Amino acid sequence: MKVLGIETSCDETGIAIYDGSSNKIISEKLFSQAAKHADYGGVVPELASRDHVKKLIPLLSETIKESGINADALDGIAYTAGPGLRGPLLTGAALAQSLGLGWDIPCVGIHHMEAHLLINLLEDPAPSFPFLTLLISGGHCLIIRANNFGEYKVLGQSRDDAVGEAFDKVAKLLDLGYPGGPKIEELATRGDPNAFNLPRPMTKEAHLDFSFSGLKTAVLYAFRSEKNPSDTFKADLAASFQEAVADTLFLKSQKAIAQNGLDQLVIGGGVASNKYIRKKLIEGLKGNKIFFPPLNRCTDNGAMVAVTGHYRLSKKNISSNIVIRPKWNLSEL
Amino acid sequence: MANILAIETSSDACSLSLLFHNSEYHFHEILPKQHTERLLIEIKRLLRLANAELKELDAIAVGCGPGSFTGIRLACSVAQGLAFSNDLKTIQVSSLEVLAKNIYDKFKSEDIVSIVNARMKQLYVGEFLYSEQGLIKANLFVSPIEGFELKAYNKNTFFVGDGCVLIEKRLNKISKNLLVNLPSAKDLLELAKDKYAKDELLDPSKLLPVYLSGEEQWKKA
Repeated sequence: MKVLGIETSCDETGIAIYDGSSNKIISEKLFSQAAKHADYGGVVPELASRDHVKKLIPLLSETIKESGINADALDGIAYTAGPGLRGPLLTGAALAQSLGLGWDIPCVGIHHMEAHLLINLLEDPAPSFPFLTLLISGGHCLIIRANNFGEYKVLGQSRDDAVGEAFDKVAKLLDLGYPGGPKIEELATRGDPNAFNLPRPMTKEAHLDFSFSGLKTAVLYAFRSEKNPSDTFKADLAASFQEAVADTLFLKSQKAIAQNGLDQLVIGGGVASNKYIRKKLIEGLKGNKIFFPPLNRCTDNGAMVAVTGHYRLSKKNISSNIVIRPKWNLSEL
Repeated sequence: MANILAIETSSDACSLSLLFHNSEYHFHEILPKQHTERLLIEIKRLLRLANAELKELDAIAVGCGPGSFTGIRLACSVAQGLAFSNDLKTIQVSSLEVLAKNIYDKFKSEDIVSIVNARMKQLYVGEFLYSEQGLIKANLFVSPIEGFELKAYNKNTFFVGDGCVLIEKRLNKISKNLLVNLPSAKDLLELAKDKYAKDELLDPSKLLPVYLSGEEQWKKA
């Protein structure tokens, strides 16, 4: 089965075609709007929606062309139905369902988080069920136990800011611009990760939930304590913040591994592209099998939607109407 | 004659017209906040009614706004998808002209101003001048409700659109010709026939909403 995947839940427009028989993505295109939203200090949903409508058809044409197959060889379509931003979600949903009607093939709305989780099954070696997943992005921070396709249990999640959101807010405080993740990572390479003693929120408790707003506030107070913050001061603060986040993610992952008796941990989401956090988790969790998708598959993309669509379409739970679920919970699957 | 599907969802009206083998089929209902769930269902119903298949169409016409951002994006995305998958052309029409077309055809008025509620205390305005040959001049812009300038209009001017109610008292002092219509796909279809005849056709990738309002308003001060 060949499945077209369409991702528009936030500010990336992603299109890909997955071939189930070879378990491979045969072509994919991605357009990131990050540069545009940088002018506004964060994602503006209305502008993101406008860009998706402009980019979807050109990316779709290119993806089909590069795949070397004809559109009539497609067996199904998948789009991200949620969770995500309402306006952007709707652009992908409307296009996907009308293509489905136009080609007369089934179309399914998939869960964004399941997509981040299942994309790892394309890798070699791939994790095998059951495994743990740490999803860290601008919109989410979750630890999930994946028992099988479609069988997920959310073990813990952020009670306030998502981890990527904390990066963005700290970057804004340090006047580094948007998106904050890469900017902080770059600045932190020149700083001392132990210069500031920042909290590791909720790491002493047994549960697996996260909280990043306190850490963010601690960074704010540290920043305000200095009247004339030098470049070194800022670099030290960025490095200490990144260290606190990495440490928190490590401690929670370690706890999840111990509590569940599983030794496979898959790490996905945009923040998983942070090389410092990767290194810290790989070193800290030695002895376990840690999986990272390639960098371009950490952030939102069409490939993960196509892969998840392939699995969902084989289940045949499909609606032919434009449906989005901006606040869809993974446990409802 | 060409076979054309017309989609107009820029207002609370979910409006569709289909011209197929010289017969016309229409759907027009006021469906606030239900366009997303109803649009594809109604398109399928209209096609079935006409015993038509998408691939038998020549073009899909869309009222591209200005109007509800969600509504015009929905119409464009759906038209893009239907047209792309069946190698059809698309036709872009201003929703303000759709409103004016209705008045021109009904009343033969030559000076028509479409006024649509743009929210955030603003109006979308389309000034249309017609002669016996049809439309000769069009001017589209956004205006704040407060500062909307009426000097250029007179007792023969015909005002149309849901934005009229926001400034009804002021408009009544100028002209008694006022109709609070919503744009209809039936009128859109008439305009689309003209455009099809003149070969004003777009590839689906070029069919985009017309917002009129720019991106500046989202910039934080």
